[in-house]
Amino acid sequence: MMPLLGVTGMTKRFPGVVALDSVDFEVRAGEVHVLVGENGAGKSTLVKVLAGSFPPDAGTVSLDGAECSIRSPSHARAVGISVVFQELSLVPQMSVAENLFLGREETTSGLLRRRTMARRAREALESVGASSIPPAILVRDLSPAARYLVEFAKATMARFTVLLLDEPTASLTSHEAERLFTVIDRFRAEGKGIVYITHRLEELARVGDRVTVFRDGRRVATLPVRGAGQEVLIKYMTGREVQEVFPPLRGTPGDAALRARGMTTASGLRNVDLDLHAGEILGVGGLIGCGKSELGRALFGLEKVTAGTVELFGQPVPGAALRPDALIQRGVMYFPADRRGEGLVLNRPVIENITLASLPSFERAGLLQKSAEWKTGLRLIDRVRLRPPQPGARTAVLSGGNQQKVMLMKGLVRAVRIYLFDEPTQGIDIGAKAEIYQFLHRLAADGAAVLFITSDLLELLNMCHRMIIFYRGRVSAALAHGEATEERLLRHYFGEIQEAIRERAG
Amino acid sequence: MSAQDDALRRPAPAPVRRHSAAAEILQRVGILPILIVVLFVFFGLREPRFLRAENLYTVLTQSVYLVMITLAQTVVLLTGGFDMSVGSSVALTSIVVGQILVAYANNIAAGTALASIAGVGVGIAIGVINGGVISLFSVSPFIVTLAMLSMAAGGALILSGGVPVFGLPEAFAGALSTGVLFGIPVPWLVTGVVLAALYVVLDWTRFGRYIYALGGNAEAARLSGVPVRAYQWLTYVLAGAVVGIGGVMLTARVGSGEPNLGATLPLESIAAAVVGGVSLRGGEGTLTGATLGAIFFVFLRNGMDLIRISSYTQMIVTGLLLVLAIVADRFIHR
Repeated sequence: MMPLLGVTGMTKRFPGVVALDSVDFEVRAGEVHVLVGENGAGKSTLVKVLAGSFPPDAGTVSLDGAECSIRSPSHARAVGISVVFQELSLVPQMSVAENLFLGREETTSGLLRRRTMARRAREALESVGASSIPPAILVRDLSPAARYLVEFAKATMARFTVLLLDEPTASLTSHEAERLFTVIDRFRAEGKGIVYITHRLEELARVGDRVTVFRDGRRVATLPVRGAGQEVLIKYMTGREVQEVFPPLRGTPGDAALRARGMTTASGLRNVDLDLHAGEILGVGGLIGCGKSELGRALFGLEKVTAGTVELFGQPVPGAALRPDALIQRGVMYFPADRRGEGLVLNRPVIENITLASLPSFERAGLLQKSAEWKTGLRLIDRVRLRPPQPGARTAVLSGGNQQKVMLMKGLVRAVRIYLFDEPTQGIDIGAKAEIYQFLHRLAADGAAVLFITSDLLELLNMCHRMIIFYRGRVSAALAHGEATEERLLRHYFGEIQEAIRERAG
Repeated sequence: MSAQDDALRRPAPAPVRRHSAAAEILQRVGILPILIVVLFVFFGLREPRFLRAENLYTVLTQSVYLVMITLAQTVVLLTGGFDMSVGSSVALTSIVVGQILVAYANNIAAGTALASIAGVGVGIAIGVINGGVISLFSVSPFIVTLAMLSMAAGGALILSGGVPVFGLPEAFAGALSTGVLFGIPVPWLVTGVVLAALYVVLDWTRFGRYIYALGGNAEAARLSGVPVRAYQWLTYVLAGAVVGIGGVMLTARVGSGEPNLGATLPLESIAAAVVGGVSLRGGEGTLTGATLGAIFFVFLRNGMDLIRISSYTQMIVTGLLLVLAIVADRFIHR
């Protein structure tokens, strides 16, 4: 059978990383082809190349058997490839209808046909099961889930043969996700080809026909969904058994290092209580936008706290001292998820990033003691096995995993007793991940308190002494290492237990 | 060796580099070496006087003023900022210096000292205002310093009544413009001291590291505990002080307080810095590059003067070079 979409020998390199390494891939008509893999495995890159976001360095794409090089996003649309990205492409200040028709407005002799467009917008929303969204409402007034559905309606309004979906359910509740699956089922019945990226292995059986696993830019396996158990997929994704990746949990937590009570922020955290103990790894999980990321930022003074108290080692922290420079002085360090955007000065050498938070300790008479700085740098570089082991290398040329190590080294130069990590393993390869797991374990074993915010269920289950789950800005569950299961965590992710309780009570 | 060390000693994949050799070289040194070679070959062939020792000496002496202003501009550019007010800051400095010198006509030594201090003070004051507004309110450096350009220019015109301040003592120019100390022309000496001081600040102090970090990634700096606002402010003050020194020196050179002095400096200093490899997006660039960039511009002007290209045409050339430099910057640091 001729595939609808075929990809042969696709290669894409970025400075510091081979994102796609001669990948072959195909989608048949009437098929939902699921792509899975770790962050940075190459799934999103493949989708972006197919969407015309950037050209591949090598390889060909064929549509309906005819070779076709995709030159730009508009060209991709013209040949029948529609894409819904994770990062939404809507203009917040414009209405839903205006967004749906952006760039393809209907006109009569140069004037907009507003009524026709509003009607067609309503139809488009209905067809994706989102008839509850009024076309005239401004996008900025919509919830993330509703925005996603608008984006989805926009991508499927035009005629398409292949639909690319990048983590469509990331911001949806299970109910909304189910509605989306129904729409996808309809497209499948119409003979479209659908590429579906997800991190939620449990969705596979519901939505997929075949699954392809990516690892480190390569396609590792393609198999029918029915034959693909989670254990098998994880093995393909990580290249090793689950037990090999995660070291056994050790140590017993001590006294409370950080305590928050009733913390409420302008960014959406509501009444959060938290105890983080010395020697403990506390996992923080939940969906995108649930507040877990905001928690890390709030504890480092990066969000506006409107209510609540924070204590460090039993000492209350006044509101004015809840800011990065003061908190670092008290032994707190935060490591952002967006290491390139917020964590590292990429155009400066590795050494300057390592010591950026600790320069006063390298000063004598106002001048930097570069030899002492360099010596410390070399010692740490050797300890974390940075590649290349050159303090003078520009940070930008390092791979994702090595950049992550550079950021972590910041917390080794000075005395840090509380580490706040936001997605420390995002977008790095499995080898570096395992190293970072060891690193976190070691920090806790040495008596530091570690807050570990992650979207990865396996990390929560295997890395943390305790874990708390966020749902809509609140802590929806707190579980200990032994009592958590994947199913249980997911139910808390979607707030289903709370909702069930509320429904029963009401 | 601890358990952690063992754990972290797994091989990691080697990083992949992907730059052609030419791009690598261009990345390291920028477009300036190419421009300098072209400049000297072109004007050397067209006009023999260009390469004569006395011409080179004269032009180098002329160039120190643009060098100083470019250094100030560079410090600000490194943080990802701009200083459009350097020109009118020089004008205001010049008027203040001129008026103090005239007022102290019967005590030249005291007048010279006081005028020099006041001149640098004017530069610092403007830096304090620029940096204060920019850092406290997180507003665009370009607009704030553009507004300051207008205000300082207005101030210079009000103070002077729109006419130059004449009657500056000969000794002032003698000391700061044509004077020689330890066998070195005073303008060279002052510029050398400024350059050395800025080098120490940028390369050997915390302040310098923070300047680069601010321009490279201000958020990363903030998350590393750097008091970002304070250092941003301090950078404009430092730049203001250097502009003040440049203003005093330039006043000595022209021999009068000029309300229109330095009008072309904002554009020229930015162009010189960018040609010298300083990135307009901040965090990238060296003092050496900026210095050479400024010297290049003054030699270019001299060459064009010698082959009788009108100053109007020269303005067009300056603009074209700035565009060329930022396009090259875009390609190199993509």
